[in-house]
Amino acid sequence: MKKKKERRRRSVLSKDMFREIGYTKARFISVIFMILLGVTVSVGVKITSPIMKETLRNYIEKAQLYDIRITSDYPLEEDDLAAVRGQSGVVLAEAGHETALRLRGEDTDCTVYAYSDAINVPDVTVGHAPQADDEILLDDWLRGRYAIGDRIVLERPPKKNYHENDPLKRYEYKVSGFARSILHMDLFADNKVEMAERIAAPRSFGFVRNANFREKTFDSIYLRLDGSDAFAFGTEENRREAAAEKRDLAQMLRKRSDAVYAEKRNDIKVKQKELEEAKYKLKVALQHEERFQPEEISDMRRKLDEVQEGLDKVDEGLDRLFRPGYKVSSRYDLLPVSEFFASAEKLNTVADIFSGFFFMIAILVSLTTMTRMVEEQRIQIGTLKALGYPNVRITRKYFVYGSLASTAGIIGGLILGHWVLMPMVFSAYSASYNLPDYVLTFHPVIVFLFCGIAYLCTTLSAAIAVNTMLKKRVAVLMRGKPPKKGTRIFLERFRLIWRRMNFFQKVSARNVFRYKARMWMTISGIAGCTGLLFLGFSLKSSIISISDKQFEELFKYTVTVAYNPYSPEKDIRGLENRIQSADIVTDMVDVYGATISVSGSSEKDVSNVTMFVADEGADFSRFINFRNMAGDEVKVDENGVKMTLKLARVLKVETGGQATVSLPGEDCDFRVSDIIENYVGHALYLDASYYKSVTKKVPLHNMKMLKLRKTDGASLQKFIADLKNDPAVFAVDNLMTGRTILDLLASSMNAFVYVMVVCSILLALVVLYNLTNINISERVRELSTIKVLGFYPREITRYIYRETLLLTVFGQALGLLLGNIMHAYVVLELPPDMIMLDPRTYLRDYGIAIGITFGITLLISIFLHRKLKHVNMVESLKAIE
Amino acid sequence: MSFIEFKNVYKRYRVGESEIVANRDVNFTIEEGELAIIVGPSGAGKSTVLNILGGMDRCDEGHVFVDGKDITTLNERDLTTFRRYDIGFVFQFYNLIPNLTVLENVELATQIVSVAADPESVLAQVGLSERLDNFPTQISGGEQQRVAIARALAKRPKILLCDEPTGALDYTTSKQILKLLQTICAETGTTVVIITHNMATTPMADRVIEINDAHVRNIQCNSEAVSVDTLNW
Repeated sequence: MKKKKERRRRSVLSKDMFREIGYTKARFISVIFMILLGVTVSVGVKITSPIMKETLRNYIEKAQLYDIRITSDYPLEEDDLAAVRGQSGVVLAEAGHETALRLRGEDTDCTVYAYSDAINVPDVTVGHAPQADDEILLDDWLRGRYAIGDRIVLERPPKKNYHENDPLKRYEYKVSGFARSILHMDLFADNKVEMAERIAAPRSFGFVRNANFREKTFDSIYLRLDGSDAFAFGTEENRREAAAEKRDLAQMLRKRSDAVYAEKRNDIKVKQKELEEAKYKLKVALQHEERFQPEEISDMRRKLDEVQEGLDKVDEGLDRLFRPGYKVSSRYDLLPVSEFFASAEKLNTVADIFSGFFFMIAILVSLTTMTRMVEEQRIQIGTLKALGYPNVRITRKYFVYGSLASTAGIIGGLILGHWVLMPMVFSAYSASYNLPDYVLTFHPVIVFLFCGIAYLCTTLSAAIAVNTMLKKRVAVLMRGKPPKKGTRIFLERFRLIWRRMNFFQKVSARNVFRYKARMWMTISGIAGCTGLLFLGFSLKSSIISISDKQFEELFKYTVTVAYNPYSPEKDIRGLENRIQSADIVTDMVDVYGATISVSGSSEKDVSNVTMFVADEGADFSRFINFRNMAGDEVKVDENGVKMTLKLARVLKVETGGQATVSLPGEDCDFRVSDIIENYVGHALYLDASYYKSVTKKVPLHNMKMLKLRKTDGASLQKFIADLKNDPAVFAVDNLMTGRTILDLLASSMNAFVYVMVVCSILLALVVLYNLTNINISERVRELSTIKVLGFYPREITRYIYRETLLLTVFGQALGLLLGNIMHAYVVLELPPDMIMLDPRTYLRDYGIAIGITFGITLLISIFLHRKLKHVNMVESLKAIE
Repeated sequence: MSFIEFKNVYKRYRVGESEIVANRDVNFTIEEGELAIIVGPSGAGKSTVLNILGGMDRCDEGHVFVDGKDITTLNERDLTTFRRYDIGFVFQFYNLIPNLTVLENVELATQIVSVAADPESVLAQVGLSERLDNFPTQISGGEQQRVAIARALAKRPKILLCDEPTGALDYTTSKQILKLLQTICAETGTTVVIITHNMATTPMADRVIEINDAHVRNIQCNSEAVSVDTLNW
């Protein structure tokens, strides 16, 4: 008998539970939405960083990226390869042929590599790798322009490098397929960081079979080491190992270099000796011409000429002989790869702030909504308790309500987070790279953490609220919640201010402080929104402004021209004359430039630093504005080197401190006399006298910095193209293209900023909407009363809106403060290695953040107005049932 | 023309599928300066009449005239204006703003009406000069109702409408309140309309309107209205 009754009771309660959802759809949906938003943003942003890392590591593994790469200023030979292979720990050593050509019909340089299926394997997207000698696997970037089967023609390089002018056996190829290469991961820059080779024109590549390369010598040696693990890329341990291996190999190679030099010199000397002897012999013989026949004499004379020629050649050879410098680099020196990894790490820190903040507010709102619901149903709960229902049964309704809402929100949030937001953030960060598609993996810790907190907060808060209520006596519950006592607020103590306020201002002030919980929630919601908006826009400004600062204020020159180190003197002179007489050139300075590695007191070393040494008597300051961090102008002089800001920070070097520079052949200690303002790249600037005093060598200028007249694009392009084609020119760096990279970075940040802005706005909208709803429903009596009193609709809206406005102002102030702090932190942590962001904040961004937040409150006030108009006076003022 | 006239007023509510008729062909008049009591059992439609008269609700059919103006033809804004200047409402549950002091509660009304009386003097009239700076939770039920009356009065309305003003009060306090209303009516000439379901109070009124089952059953005029002090129930 009892069981039957209980069953019926249970089903009625369950009916109520589900009806509740139907009756309060708006509330149910708002909880779902809040949780959904919180989970989407927090999970979505947080998993992007590990996914970026995993995608990169997978790519490294798939491509079998080299562990070590060795290059030299001399062409590398089999002997070099054998020597390296012999090192312990080397599992595989391969020769890497490559040559820079031009694709006919395109304006792009095309680096042609020898295809290998063991190291640096290209990732074929369409078609297949070259199987026949006349096939070429092209850069995926060119997929729109060519089709499989097309014939392409490569053009021979116009200038001499250390190959003959004819590196390949054939120059016409058939396209066998398209691929992406990890060596060309960034879309717009060449990752061969040779001196001044910061060319940012689109560079493509192609892979052909090894047999096509004519020379037996090659450009690089690629190594795979024992224990190489793509999936450990980026870890501290892996980095240390890579650095250690680099050092070992560099040492070994230096010794070898010395040995080779000595040997070659010896060979030449031996040859020289032989020839000298022969010459002497012949000369002696010719002195006694009478002894010989005329044919013999002419014969001997010819031989003498030959010998002399031989000696001249030997002299030239000796002249040209220099110690080959080897350069050893690891995976971490492959810029785009390490940059991408670094940006994943930066994202992680930003994600923590952003998602934590967001999530917290979302939870708070759901929490309040649920507890509100329990409050409103106080009498119902009391009735059920009076009827004799056990607490558990009563609590169950709210627990289930919260469960269903939060679960729906969590599921939706996980879907949106994984499939919408993460891909968006990922593509924002990978916009300037050519990466394979991201690998969507599951990150249980992140997911369970956020989802768990969301679920527990929503359900437990309701459950705890009900339980607290159930502790009270039934009679107390049935009486309804006693209205909060009105009290004087502390502001009233300040008589001066209080007296000045008009009546309604006083009313609003009292009301605002009465509902403290809602007050703090509104302030938090507004502060969060304003803070995040400010962060987004000021970040954008920080990125954009460095482009202007760097390329308009700091750099005053336009182009650098690097000489071809193999060109004979007369060609170089010719080039210099041509430049001097070019109409478009307004100013120039001779500089010795080199790419060096710098280390400071910390263990870190930075390998992509450019060192500029001004020639004797040359003055940098016309070309670069050297400003120290206090804003003062400084001069490059014999007191030391000027170091760029970010480099100084990374190496932990202060003004007056030491920096160890590893020049080809030796390490030198330089004194850093000033740290200068700079946003792009790492550089050291010094003059010839200081260079001499430290290295005991005279710097020979090998490039020029040029200032060009402002002219039309075509003339500029022609000038640069002419320079590039000049055989005496090794490279031309047009700073304007450097600006393009920066602008590209800025635009990729844009996507992220937009996401942040949209989310912040949504957050504010939902928070305010929710709170407004709660506000109205809790004060419906008060509002109906003033409606009855005869307040016009606009007056009623203003009655509430005045409070919102007050809270908005507080919230904005707090938000801007928080935003400032977050901005300072992110500006430091976010940018990739070579870039520094402008740490300043601009008035405009404060304005935008405030403006948008105000706009949101206005929007909400419109909603508020509509809702208030529909408040039914008659119903609301009836007796408390 | 009477000061207040209800002419063939109908008010219907749609509840789900069925229809409830709250007022069916209600007709009555009230003269200026009278104290009228509308009496009847629960659910008879008394409050509906008051709500329509006070401009808080609209009727479906018929006309309501107040001081020559047909308020059924007014749009929302004009109706609010009517409520603002011409009507003062007193509720059963006082509906004071808990966050405002007694004085401020009355000021709430005087701030929006330019011709309003001085809040402090109105409060003196209802005998609450000692309580100006107290909050509603700090005063008794009777005192709260007096504040409500003061608030309604301060607007200097033409009509004072009271919906079961003593419903939540004990016998003695109820008498005090009714006495106050009677005094106000006599001294200020404000037309007062009171709703109650207590027949015993009807002798205090100049006019008694009986409503039962959505319709006016009887209207009785008392030529000699009796002071509240003499009544007992």
